[in-house]
Amino acid sequence: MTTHPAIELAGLTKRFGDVVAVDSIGLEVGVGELVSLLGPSGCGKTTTLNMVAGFLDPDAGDIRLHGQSVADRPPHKRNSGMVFQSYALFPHMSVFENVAFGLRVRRLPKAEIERSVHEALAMVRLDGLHDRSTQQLSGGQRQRVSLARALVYQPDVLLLDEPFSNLDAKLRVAMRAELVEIQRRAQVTALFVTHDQEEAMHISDRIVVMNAGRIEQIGSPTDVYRRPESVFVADFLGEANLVEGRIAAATAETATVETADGLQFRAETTKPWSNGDACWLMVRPEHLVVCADTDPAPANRMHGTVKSHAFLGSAHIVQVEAAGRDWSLKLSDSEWTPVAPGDDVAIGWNAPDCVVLNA
Amino acid sequence: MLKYRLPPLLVWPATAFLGAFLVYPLLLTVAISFDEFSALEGMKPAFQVGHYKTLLTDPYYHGVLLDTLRISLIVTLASLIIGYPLALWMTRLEGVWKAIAMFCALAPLMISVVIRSLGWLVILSDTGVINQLLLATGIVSSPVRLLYNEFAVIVGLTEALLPFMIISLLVSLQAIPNSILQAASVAGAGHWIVFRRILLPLSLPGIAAGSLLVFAIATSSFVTPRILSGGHINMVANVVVDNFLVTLNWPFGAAVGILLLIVVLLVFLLQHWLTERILGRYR
Repeated sequence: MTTHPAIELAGLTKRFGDVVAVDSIGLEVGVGELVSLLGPSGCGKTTTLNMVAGFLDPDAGDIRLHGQSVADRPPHKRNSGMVFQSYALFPHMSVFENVAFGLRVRRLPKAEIERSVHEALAMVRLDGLHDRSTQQLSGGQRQRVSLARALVYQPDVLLLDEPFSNLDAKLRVAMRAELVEIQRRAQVTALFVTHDQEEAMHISDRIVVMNAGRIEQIGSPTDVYRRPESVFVADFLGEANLVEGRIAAATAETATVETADGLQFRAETTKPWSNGDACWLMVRPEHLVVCADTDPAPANRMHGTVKSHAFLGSAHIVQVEAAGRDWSLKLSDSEWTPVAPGDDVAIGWNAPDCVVLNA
Repeated sequence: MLKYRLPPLLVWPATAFLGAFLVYPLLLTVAISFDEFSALEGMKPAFQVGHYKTLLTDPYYHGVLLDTLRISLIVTLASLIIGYPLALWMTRLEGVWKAIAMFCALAPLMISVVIRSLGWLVILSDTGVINQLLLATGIVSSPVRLLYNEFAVIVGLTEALLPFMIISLLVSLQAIPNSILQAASVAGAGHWIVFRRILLPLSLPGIAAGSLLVFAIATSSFVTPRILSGGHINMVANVVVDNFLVTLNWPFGAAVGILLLIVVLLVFLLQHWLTERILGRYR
């Protein structure tokens, strides 16, 4: 028997009037994998999730769960679990009844419902609260009830629609780690929609970066962050210094990028480039350093003037004007040598730390 | 908190208005209902319960009360059954369509009850649209009696009171977020279970409010029953009107009015108790 991916999207398309919300996307999610759909609002990530859940009918393409096409099935026949941004708990039911809902619908024996609900509540660390009204719970507790409700009947896939957006910042981060742990333990395949790149990087096995209804890139968090394949991905994930230019020289592993005003930067690359190709050079703020004159010179180095400095606690954000551009630097506090606006500094970065992107 | 900062001054006009035109007349009505009355001498201040005794022992008034309760109950159920799907459908509409549907549902309120009842006369009469249709298609050979009976009163009242039911239902149905219905659906609930276990209990307050409103207005209606029953059916309010305006027996009319008020209050309590019990079963 061949093993099928848990979720398989093929040529999935959805239009709203003239607007193509999801434009023929293809994706495979392996069993037990946690994959994020990441993108700005309006990129089609929620529309995609709603089609997988069955709330929206695709205009074209297919959705297969464990090899079975579910495109024609209503939501209640897809055996999926879903966690909503608004929690969407049933306000007239206790915590226990909320979690038990999916089991009661499946007409399981009473004793089994009792046992499963308590197991699920223990898994989300809410044991003992089963008698509570959902109105008496905090936001984090509500979202854990919602998670238990979605997992208790062992769904084939778990769908999460920005589940932590309504929580405050600290709790949000704590819930991420908890979600990953619960998802691993439940061994459930999860599709997670978010616009928060840090959240996606924190929890995902793979990230699907979406823009304007299309998939820009699919890869591990490290991949999409370190080796973005487009300017959009480079810019959307974290901060990026982007410089437009052309390839001045290229070998199999290196490329020299020349800007319109004649500056040259050296980069390492795995893609084949030809001289004259239009491109963008991207370097992350944390890869830029302020260099002292005694340092071994990094491959790329410029002199400039400090424009501003902000201290964020763990890091310093410094804006430097050099070669007619503003450069953003993120310097860790432990390696911080004080600079002030107006100071002349040399900044630079190493060739492996920057990426050459298609224009 | 806004509630805290509202100056009591703002509430005075309403309090004064309700005091002068609701509480005072009500107390007056209670007082009058204990007065004596004779056809020759009219009202005489007294404190006797004769009118209430008559009301509770005379089979004629039992009949009036039972007719009123039965008709009001049927009207309430009919407007609930017609109104619920309509209100549910209206919550799905958006923008201009919602406004149009809303206007159509509420437009009847802009037309006088008298005119609407007269309209039903035209539709339900022996030569009316319905009978003509039935005769033309050969379903019946002679006109069916649709007018001047309980059926006509029920039809007329249901049509007149439906907007109140729809407004109440809309308010509570619109407060149910779509994501809650989606959550139930994903968890494996088909349409029927979503309706029975989620939609119905969550809209119960609206059902209760709408039912009570329709029931209370139905029990106190007198124009529609008079016109559409041709005077054959007397509802409680007709008895009140007759006593106040025709026989000028105000004390007896007042006693009937107070009895009606007590009945409606009892129904309100029953309704509240029922709602709580039903909601309790889901917890």
